[in-house]
Amino acid sequence: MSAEPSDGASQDVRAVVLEVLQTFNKTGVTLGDGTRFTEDLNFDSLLVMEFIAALEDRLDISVPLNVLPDVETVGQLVVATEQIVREEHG
Amino acid sequence: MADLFDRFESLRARRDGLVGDGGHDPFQVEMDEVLSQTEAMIGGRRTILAGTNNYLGLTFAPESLKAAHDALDAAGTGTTGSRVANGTYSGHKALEQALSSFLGKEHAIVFSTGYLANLSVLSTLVGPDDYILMDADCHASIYDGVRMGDAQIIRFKHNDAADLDKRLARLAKKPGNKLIVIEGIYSMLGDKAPLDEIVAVKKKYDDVYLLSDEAHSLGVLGRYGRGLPEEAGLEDDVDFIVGTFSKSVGTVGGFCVSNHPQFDLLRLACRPYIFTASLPPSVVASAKASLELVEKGGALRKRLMRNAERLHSGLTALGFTLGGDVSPVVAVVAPDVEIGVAFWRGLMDGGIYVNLALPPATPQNFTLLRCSLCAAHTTEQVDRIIEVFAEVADSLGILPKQSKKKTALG
Repeated sequence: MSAEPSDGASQDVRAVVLEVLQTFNKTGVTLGDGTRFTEDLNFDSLLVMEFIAALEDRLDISVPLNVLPDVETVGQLVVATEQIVREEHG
Repeated sequence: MADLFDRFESLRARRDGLVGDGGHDPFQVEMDEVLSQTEAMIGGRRTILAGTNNYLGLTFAPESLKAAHDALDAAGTGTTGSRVANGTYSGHKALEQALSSFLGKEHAIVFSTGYLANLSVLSTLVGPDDYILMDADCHASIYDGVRMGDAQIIRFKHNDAADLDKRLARLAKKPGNKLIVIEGIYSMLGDKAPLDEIVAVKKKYDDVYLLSDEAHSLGVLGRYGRGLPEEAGLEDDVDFIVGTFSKSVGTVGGFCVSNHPQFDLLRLACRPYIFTASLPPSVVASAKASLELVEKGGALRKRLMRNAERLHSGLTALGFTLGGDVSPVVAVVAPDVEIGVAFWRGLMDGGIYVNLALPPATPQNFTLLRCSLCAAHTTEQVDRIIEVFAEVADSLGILPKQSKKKTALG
């Protein structure tokens, strides 16, 4: 899965994802598209829920649990989030 | 060459780290002999059972035993078939009618376990264009059920009606039905859902249904034991009630009731209903007999709550951190997993069985010593539980000295 940060909207989503994620970044790793939630950020199910809730509030979107099994990295989450933002806010 | 079981390596390492030294294994408890609703022989020791979900103590109710014996002799040890094939006997239909009339809903379906009831209903009732809004602390059977289905799954913060409201508002412009899923009493901490607030939120939006899993509250809450909806006076606002026979009802099996006129169609759609054997006649008969005792069980509920209050206040006075308000589930929060396991073993050595619940299966990743009470516990048994908790805490040195002195049990 590859992100395409060409248009303005996706740049914004990426920036928001990284900004919200930074507040949950307890391992202090540098965040990038390749950062893995479990291995690099030590996210457990509780932290995933809190982070996703914060992201939903920030972007005013619903992120169904269904998308999470396919998301291992920050880049994949950005792509999934961009798609939801497009669907919900046109 | 890789071994098939290599994928469980982290599980094995964690288990060995927790229980590898040969002491009591919290996940391999064996009851050598069950002496009563509240006592068993475990490892040669007479042990008080304080972690059973046998809230009303009906597992040895004479009426239920007799009904089970009679059905066993009359109809045999098992049905050997599915509800939709050769596995529906008159007893199954009679149990469904009894549930329907007890819970005041037009339709009832009996499943082979509570787990299968949730798997059945949650995987089937809602489709790919629908949304499930589930409380984050819902039981594993609810998580498994929604994952087995096609609906979009949204979690809301535990017992937070405002958070549910926010999420429903976001979905309001989307087509599709929305099904809110909550529990009457949450199993780990024993806390109740704020049903009035959730119903108020539900009513603000269109096409929203409410399902409540009353596994731990059936028989426990409400004057007649119909669970949280009865206690809250909101039975008409709950569209689907799921429950189990394996807690207050004292046997095994699950059910769902509803007033929806097409509810019976689920019998043709739910795979965990169709592709498993139905309950044996003896289980069905004892469930029906015990349901009558649940309805008439006002005195049992009073005793249960008296025991719950006694344990809750006794442990609070000792300085323990408890997970929730007074309820038949009294969850003691241990500082960490290692102390939790040591504490649990100390309780076993002192003749007390409780449930050890570990992260990630627990809310907020707590390590819990989860006690559940029974109407059949005597005051002396409850006091003994408190006493052993105090002794173990003392030996592990985990309570402030002051609170121990202040509340020393004599």
